[in-house]
Amino acid sequence: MKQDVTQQVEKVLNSLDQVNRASVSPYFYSRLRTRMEAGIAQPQHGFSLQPAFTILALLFLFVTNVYLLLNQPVTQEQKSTEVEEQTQWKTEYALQEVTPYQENPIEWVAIK
Amino acid sequence: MVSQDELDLIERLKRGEESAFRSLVEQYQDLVYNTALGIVQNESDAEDVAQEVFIQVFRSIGTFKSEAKLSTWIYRITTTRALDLLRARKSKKRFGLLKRLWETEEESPVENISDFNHPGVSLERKEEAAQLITAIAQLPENQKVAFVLHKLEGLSYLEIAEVMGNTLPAVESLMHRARLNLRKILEKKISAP
Repeated sequence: MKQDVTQQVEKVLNSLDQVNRASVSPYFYSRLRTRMEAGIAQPQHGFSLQPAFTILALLFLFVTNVYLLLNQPVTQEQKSTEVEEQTQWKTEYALQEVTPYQENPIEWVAIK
Repeated sequence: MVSQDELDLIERLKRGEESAFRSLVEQYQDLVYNTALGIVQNESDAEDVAQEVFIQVFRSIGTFKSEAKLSTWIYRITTTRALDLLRARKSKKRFGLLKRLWETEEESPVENISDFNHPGVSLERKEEAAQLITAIAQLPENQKVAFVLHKLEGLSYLEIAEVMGNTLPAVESLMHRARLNLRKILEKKISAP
């Protein structure tokens, strides 16, 4: 059995001995010239914007953005801007005004 | 050693003579096509590779130094281009699932390499040759190139060494490993029920 397999393998291994050279189909030169003149000499099988590439690129950009947003370090400048914004907001909505309670708490309780 | 005829042809090519280019293509087209076919195992891909090879020869003939034979240089370009195509095909397969979700039936050609039969094989050896060709496709790149150049182009180990930029012992070892691998692949396939 093993000898049969070995013989068969040898037969297969020698099957390309004395093989004839394959020839290009007719008018190869004309097709080549056409391609050269059309200026599409660059390889067609390189990187291309296939949908799969596009999806992957978009996914990569999305993940990178989310990561950067979540891991963004808060700088001193940002902190002071935030405080400034809060103060502005308070001023705009009069949140710094003193309430009657704060003005005179005892009187306030008496009125109640 | 480069012959005088070859040197003349190279000179004419460097001057940009179209008749020289035509003559070069006619002289080497089957060599290029047959080598590419052995590696990519698909007729239309092999023709595509052959066209790219001649375009590259046309563009870079100015940089060719006549230290090596023209055929050696052309073999080198051919094997590089053919392997590039195989790599591109592999990476395309990796994205195959995503692509299939996106593309329609007509856009995604079905590549069936196992069906490939070399046109130069005689009818009585066709079945065995098809098995061998399928096995060759599974070899590592450099073993595949060496085996194809030896079996399909009939190059000697020394010529293969020149094409691949290797030493003779390196090519001998490459061929030995290629045979061992092919034997393993074929034994597995033949002994399988």
